[in-house]
Parts: sequence; structure tokens; C-alpha cells
Amino acid sequence: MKLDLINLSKKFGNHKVIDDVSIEFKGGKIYGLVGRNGSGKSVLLKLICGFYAPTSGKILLNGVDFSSENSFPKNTRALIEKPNFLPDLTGYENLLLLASIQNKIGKDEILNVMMKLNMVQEIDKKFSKYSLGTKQKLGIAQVLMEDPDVMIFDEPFNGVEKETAKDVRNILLEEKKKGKIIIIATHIKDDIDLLADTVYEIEDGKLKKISIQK
Amino acid sequence: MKYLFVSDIEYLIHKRKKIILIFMFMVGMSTLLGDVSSSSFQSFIGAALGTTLDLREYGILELLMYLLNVSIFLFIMVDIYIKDFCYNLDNLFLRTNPVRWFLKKSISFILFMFMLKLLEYALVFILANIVYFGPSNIYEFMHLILKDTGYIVFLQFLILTFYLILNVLDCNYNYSVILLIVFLLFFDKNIWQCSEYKILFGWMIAFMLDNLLIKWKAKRIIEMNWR
Repeated sequence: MKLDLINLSKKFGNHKVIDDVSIEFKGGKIYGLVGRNGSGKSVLLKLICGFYAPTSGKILLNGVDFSSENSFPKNTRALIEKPNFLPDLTGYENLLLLASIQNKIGKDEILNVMMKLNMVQEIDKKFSKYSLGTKQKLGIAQVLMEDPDVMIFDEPFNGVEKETAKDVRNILLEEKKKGKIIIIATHIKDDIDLLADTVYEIEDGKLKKISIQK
Repeated sequence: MKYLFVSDIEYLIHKRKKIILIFMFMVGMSTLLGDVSSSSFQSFIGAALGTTLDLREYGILELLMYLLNVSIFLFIMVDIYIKDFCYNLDNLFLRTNPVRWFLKKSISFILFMFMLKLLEYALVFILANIVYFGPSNIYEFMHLILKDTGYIVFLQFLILTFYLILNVLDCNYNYSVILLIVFLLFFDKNIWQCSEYKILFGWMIAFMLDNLLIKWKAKRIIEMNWR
């Protein structure tokens, strides 16, 4: 499993938001992306998800280029910005409905992922009644449930209580052992220190510092 | 498709409930204020909903209802399609590609529009029957609903075409409304006299254009709506 960003740049008008970024992500590793708000983290994640086309450069997943207008990465899931679900359905129903798009998994896998995230008590509760932390957990559940090869999280620990954050960290470490590529962006470096194998710092669209921790 | 249909209904109930209720209220009011001297049930409905508008000879209520009828449904169209780009990207577009999304969304959307039109006409039907007329021919009534739905769906896909073209060209979205108004000045406003073939042909052209724009410029469109 390999994800390559090659001389990636993104401009909005005349403003360069991502400036000549090259990174190689390998399977079985967790990558941290830190930087203050507005540094370009989210735009970089959206480029990796294939939501934006780069102004120049390439993005390859296992050698397949998906930087053009109409190609998207396969078997990739993401939680970018705040989790968005249908307010009148329960968390479980929301996941079931999302799973129906691809029909890759059934009820058992969904219940399993909810149990892993300690969401058993929230299964029958409507999404609108969830706390911020539980909403975030449901967002993480929708990333995990279909067993993707690449997982992308933007500020996954937002509003999540300490105990849950610990559970999520353990789950991500388990996923890492399965050979997944996991990319986590946050503006709080402490979240990353406990988890990431490699940390990239992004400032004004440029990769400023790379710290290899493990 | 199940996901798209349920999420659209949920979205309208939560975020656009007021607009739909106001619209239904206006439909009810225009029915009650309608021209009772109309020769038939059909022409009564036409006048009440503004669906038989003739710019050379029109009543102000009829004109207002035509504009309301068209503008509310056009707003719903752009709103419902664009909301997926604005709020649903990570949930939706990593699970399905934009072209497949557009096809399924369009089927779900047309069904949904038919249901809304059915609701609108049912209200007029009930009020008109209670207040003015006796029971009407149900087949004629269904024909009216289908034709009105077809007309509105055609205009909806057309405004989406204008909107997407302006998106791709990075122009102000509001121009799409101006383009549509210019188009409407020259296009039939009497829905029931407008030929079915014209509606179907126009819809197919708009649908194909939308499909091509989404296929070729999906990321550009996402970027313009989710920056």
C-alpha cells in the first residue's frame, strides 16, 4: 500500500494554498499532519481524498494517478471537518444507510464498529441528541466500518473525552497493524505525539519540518 | 439511491420546512381567492396555480403564482443538488463517483418532485372541490400533475445546467437566475399548452449537459461549492 504526493501545488485564484508538497505515505504507518488553522492542512487532505484537483503535481495510490478531474481514490474513507449525518435517524441507522451505498458490509460489521467505539448505549439514540464527542465518534465509525485501505482524519479528537480518545487511539493502532495508511491532521501536536510514526508540519502550504518519531 | 432519497427528505423537513409550508399556504390562498367564474375545473386550477399564464392577458394572482411555483421549485433543485457537495462530501463521494451519484440523485429527485406536486395538487383539488366544484375527472387531474411535474423538472435541470456552467467558468452564480428569466421570457408559460415533446426534449438536453459537466468537471464543481 503506497500513496504518493509528487510536487503537489494548489492555488485558489492567485493564492497558493499548497506549495510543492511531496510526501510518500506507506501502509502500516500513522502519519501526523500538524499546523495552525488556515495553514493548508484541510486543503491537503481534500486533495488526497480527490475532492480537489491539484493545480500541478500528481497523487498516486498504488501507482494509479487520481489527480485528474474525474478520478477518485479507491477504498479510501475520510472524516473531514465536522461529521455530517441525518439528524432524525439513530447513529446505527445512519451508518446502515451509508453502508447501503456500496453494500460491502451488513449489520454485524456496523454493530461491531460501534461496540469497539463504546457506542452501544448510543445505538438507538437519534443523531441530533448526540453530544459533540459522540457525533465525532460516529464520524470515526463511518471511516472504520468498511475496512478501507486509507483512512484520513481531520481533527478526530475534537470534543472527544479523554477515555474515548484513548479507545480511538487503540483502534487506530490496531488498524495500523493491518497495514493501513492512516493520516491524521490536527492543530494540537499532543494528539499526534502519542500516535504518529511520522509527523509533518505544514505552514503556509509548505512542509516546514519533518520529525520522525518512531 | 435509498441514502439519497432519505437524506433529501430529511434535509427538506429540517432545513426547508418553512419554505414548503409557506408555499402550500400560498397555493391554498390562491385557490380560495381563485376565479370561480372559470368555465372548468382545469381552467380554475390553471388560474390558481399560474400554470396557464399568458403574458398578453393575465391576472396579477396568476402571474404571482406562476413565479412562485417556478422559483420555489428551482430553489429546491439547486439547494438539494448542491447540498451534497457542501455537506456530504466525505460520506458520499468516497463511496460513489459523481456521475453515478448524479444519475441516482436525478431519479430520486424526480420521484420527489412528483410527490411534492402531488401534494400541491391534492391541496388544490380538495379545496376546490369543497368550495366550488363537484368531483372532477381523476384521470384528467393526474395528467395535469404529470405535465406540471415534467415542465418544472425540465426548468429545474435547466437552471442546474446554468448553475454548473457558471461554476465551471468561475462566474457569479446569480447570473444563472438571470439566464433562466431570459429563457422563460421566450419559453411557453402556459404549461398545459406546452408540448410534451418539447418538455421531454428540453429535459434530455439539460440532463445530458449536466451529466457531462459533472463527469468532466466534478472536482472543479466540488471546489466551487466547498471551499
